[in-house]
This record gives sequence, C-alpha cells and structure tokens, in this order.
Amino acid sequence: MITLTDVSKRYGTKKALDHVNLELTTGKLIGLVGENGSGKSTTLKLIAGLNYPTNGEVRVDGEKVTRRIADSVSYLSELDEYYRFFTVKKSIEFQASQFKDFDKEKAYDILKFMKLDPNDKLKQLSKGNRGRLKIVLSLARNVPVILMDEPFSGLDPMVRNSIVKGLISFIDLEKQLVLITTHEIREVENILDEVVAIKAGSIIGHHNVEELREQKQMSIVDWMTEVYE
Amino acid sequence: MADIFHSSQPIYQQLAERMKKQIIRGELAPGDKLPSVRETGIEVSVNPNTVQRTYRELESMHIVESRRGQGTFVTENEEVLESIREEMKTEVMSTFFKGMHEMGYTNEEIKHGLIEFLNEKGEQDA
Amino acid sequence: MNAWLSLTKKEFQLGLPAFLIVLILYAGILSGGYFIGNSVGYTEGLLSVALGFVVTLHIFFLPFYLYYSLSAERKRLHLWLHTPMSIAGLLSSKIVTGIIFMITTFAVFVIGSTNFFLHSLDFFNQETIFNLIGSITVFVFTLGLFIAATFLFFWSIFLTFSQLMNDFISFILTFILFLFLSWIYGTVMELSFMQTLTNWGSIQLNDIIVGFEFDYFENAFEAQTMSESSIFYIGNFVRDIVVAAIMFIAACWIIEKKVEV
Repeated sequence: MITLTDVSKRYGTKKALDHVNLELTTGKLIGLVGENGSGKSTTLKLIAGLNYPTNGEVRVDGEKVTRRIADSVSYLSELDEYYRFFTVKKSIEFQASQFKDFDKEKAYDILKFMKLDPNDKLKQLSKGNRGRLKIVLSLARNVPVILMDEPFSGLDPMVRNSIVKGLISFIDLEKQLVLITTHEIREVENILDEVVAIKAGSIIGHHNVEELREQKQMSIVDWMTEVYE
Repeated sequence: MADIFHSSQPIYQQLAERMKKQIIRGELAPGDKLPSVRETGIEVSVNPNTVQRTYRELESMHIVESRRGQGTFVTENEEVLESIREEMKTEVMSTFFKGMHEMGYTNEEIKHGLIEFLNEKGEQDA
Repeated sequence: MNAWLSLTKKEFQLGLPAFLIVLILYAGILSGGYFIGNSVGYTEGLLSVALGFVVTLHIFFLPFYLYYSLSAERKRLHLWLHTPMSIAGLLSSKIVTGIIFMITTFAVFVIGSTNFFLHSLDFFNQETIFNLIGSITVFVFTLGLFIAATFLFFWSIFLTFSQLMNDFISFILTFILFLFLSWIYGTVMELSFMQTLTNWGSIQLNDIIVGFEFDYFENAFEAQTMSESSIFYIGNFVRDIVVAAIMFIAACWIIEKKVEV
C-alpha cells in the first residue's frame, strides 16, 4: 500500500506537486494520467525514494520512504539509459545479483514472451526491444510495489501491445500494486483497475474504472476530457 | 484490441455477455473448463481482476460453476442454459421492437418486414 | 553471488575505458622520453625522468577514474541509485576497482624502474632503493586516496547544486566552496595546536637513504642539516587518512540525503 500525506514538492521555485493526498491499495493496476509536466514522474520518484518531498510524507507499506525503499519497490524510469556494454542476459544476471527478490526464472519467461534474444548486446537493441527489456527487468521482481514511468512512450503499437499483454501475464495481482504513468490512455484503458488524474501538481480525480463506466457511462478517455476541461 | 468493448458499460458485464454468447453458440460446451482468469485476460487484453469479476457474475447466474482447485466450468444444467438462451433472445428482440416502435412501425408491419427480411436473407445464405 | 561483488564486476567494465586512456597516456610519455632521450643522446636520463613522471601521475589516477565513472553514472542516476545498497557500498565498489587498476600499472612501473635503477645507476645501494620505493608507494597511494576523497566530496556537492542550477554555475559555486574550504583547512592546519597534534613520527632522509656518504658535501654543517631534516611525518599521513575518511563519509551522506534523480 502506498500513502502520500499532504505531499508537496518544489524544485527551486518551481512547484511540482501541491498538497497531494493519495492512498493506493495492493492488488491493483493503477494508472496515473495527466499531461506532460503535471507531476506524474515526480510522484513516482517520490514513491521510489529517488526524490524527497519538500513537505508531507510518503509511505510504502507503512514504512517511510527513503532511497532504500528500493528493497520493496521496483522502479522503471522513462529514460532510455542503460549499461550498454551488457548483453540482455548480463543485464538480467546483474539485476538478479542486486535485488534479493529478483526471480530469474520469471525473467527468462518474460524474456521469451517478449521474444528477446538473451545474447543480444544492449547497444545493438532497437528502441522497442530496449523498452521490452526494461519491462522484463522491472516485472521479474517479486516485490510489493512496481512503478512504471511511461513504459509505452515512443514505442510502436506492436511493442505497446506486447507490453500490455506482458503486464497482464506477469503481474501478481494478489500481492502486487502496479502504478503506471502514461498519456497513452487508450492503451491501458482495459487493464486498469483505478485511474488517478493529475493536473498542475494536484490530484483532480481518483476512480475505479469499472465504476466510472457503471455510474457515469464514461471510459477513462471520456472522463479525462471532462475533468481536464 | 481496445475496440471490442464500448465505454458506456462496465467491461466485466460486456465480457460476461461475450462469454454467454460463446456458451449459447456452443463454442463453450456444457461441462467445458473455462480458460484461467489470466488466460482470458491476455486473450482480450483485460485486467485479470475484471475477468475475475466476470467469472463471479457468471457464477451468480449459475451459468458456470467453480470447482475448488480445478477451475471454472460451464454448467451442465440444460435448464439453466435454455433459460439463458431464451433470456438473451428476449433481450435482443425487445431492443429491436423498441427501436421499431420508436420509428412508428405497427406490429403487423414489423411481422411482415421480418418475414420478408428472413426470406431474402435465407436465400442469400443458401 | 554477493551483490557488492557483482556490482564491482560491473564497475570494472564501466571503468575500463578510463584505464585504457591512462595506459595510452603512460605509454606516450614513456616512449616520448625514450625517443627524445635517444635523439639527444641521453636516453637513460630522460627515461628515468619519464618513469618518475608516470609514477607521480598515479596520484591523479584515482580521481580521474572516479570522475570518468561517476560522469557515466550521472546519466543514469535512476539506475545507479535505485538499489537497496548503501552509498558507501556503491562508492567503495568504484574506489576498489580504481585502486586495482592503479595497482596493476603502478606495480609494473615500480618493478620496471627498480630494475632500471639497479642496473643503470650505482648511485644508491639496494636497501636505499627499496626504502625509496616503499616511501613513494605510501606517498602516491595516500595522496591519491586523499585527492579522490576530496573529489568525491566536492562532486556530491556539485551534484546537489546542479539540481537547482545549470552545470556551469554549479561548477563555479563548487569551486569557490573548494577554495574557501581549502583556505580554512590550511589555516586550521597551521595552528600550532594542530602542528603538535600531527607532527609526530618524523622520517628523515637518512632513514631512507642508507649508506650514502653525506660528507660528499663540502660543508659538514650542510650535510648534517640535509640528513637530519624531516622529509615527512607519519602523523601527517594519519591526519590525511582521517580527513579523507571524513570527506568520504560526508560525500556518502550528501548523495544519500540530498541528491535526487
């Protein structure tokens, strides 16, 4: 479970998050949506302990977040940067050595599912395959919280589709909470349990996706268009 | 992929309708085991939690039954299946008639129209 | 396998280009010394100057290596810092690989120059040469580590600044801070109290250079002064190591608490 209590974050004079309160529960796939610069990435970094709140408190499973929360949080950055001298296999081995909860067998399953060759060098991988490898590395951890920052960004529909299927196949929704930021809402429309909309550093809505359809007859896209006006 | 569901109704209901049709058509025969929640989720690209809810929904309608540790199976109770068949037929027809009535067709016109339509359609299919 | 060892294996791969750059530099200096020496007909002299220069350059290897390796990490801080490992663990892994790279070249040059001096110069006896090499090794490594720790300390400060300002201004600010802190450090070390605290265990020239005839000097007094003047204090080395450790701990703290991705 993730809780943000009255969290604000400033970078110098720039306000990234403004008095955010948020509670996310285990067993759900949650989408954090909003336009560029609305505070999506900041929220994820705060939960991953890679940024610290200027004000307020972030907790994961009751524990106050520091960088060491990496023990129970798997974070996938939107950046396309790796240790390029590694092969796919070496990346997995390295990740496995750094995280106790890394499940190598699962990693190779996902790798197969994503049709990646373990012997390929990272510097030779296409952007799509690098995107897939990131998914492999972050999903293969048996960890309570998985954070994914823009996993679809800049990838073609085929790759996006394989990532969506990969998420459904390999997330353990009994024990895990997955938080995804994206602006490709259509892509995740059917796989989200909940959606959180963020605008200019404030949470402007948090809904169960099925309830949204049941009570307002709205898809996430419809709802976003409404709240973002 | 995202297009098989429309936005005005919960996905778990739409998925339930979809599976009911599969059962009525006989694609899923009485006593057949349903794919696992995850398998179905992957097939239609839907959250497993939602699929789980669909299965629960179908179970509450006694169309499927879950057997502990074995999975979920299509009911072998022909009565239930027959009543579902009837129910879905009635549902589609009532929507049809409602639409026709809204446009001012009389029952007589609808009947004739339907017979004519079926005759033409039947010839085409044959 | 142990997480730290795997990390260290990665560091070897990440830092290898820095090592190769330095190898090429060393090779360039040595062959430069050799060829210039050859052309002016004074090969041995210039080669020994080049050897001495390369050995001295080792002082700067560790800070250069850390600069290279940390610049690479800076582009992917989200990977480097997203780990349950302590910052001390992350940094020590880099320092250890740096030292191992440094030892390999240092050992080659020290063995090479020992042989060279033993065969081509009969100026010093064997014991003196070993003493000299021992002192130089201690000196190079202590100073190297001290500069490396200083670099890490100011790099962490630079990184903290660079989150709010652009790199150029951050660098200027860090540099001003560096000058200011160096001045304070220098002033404090000048205090007679600090002098008493650290100037112990003096090592004198004739502790190192044995069997050398100091009456070679014309003036007996001059020879006396020369041989008895302290060239360094063990206390100063201990002081440097303590200060380096403090800077290392401070760098770890700053990166842990202040550096954001």
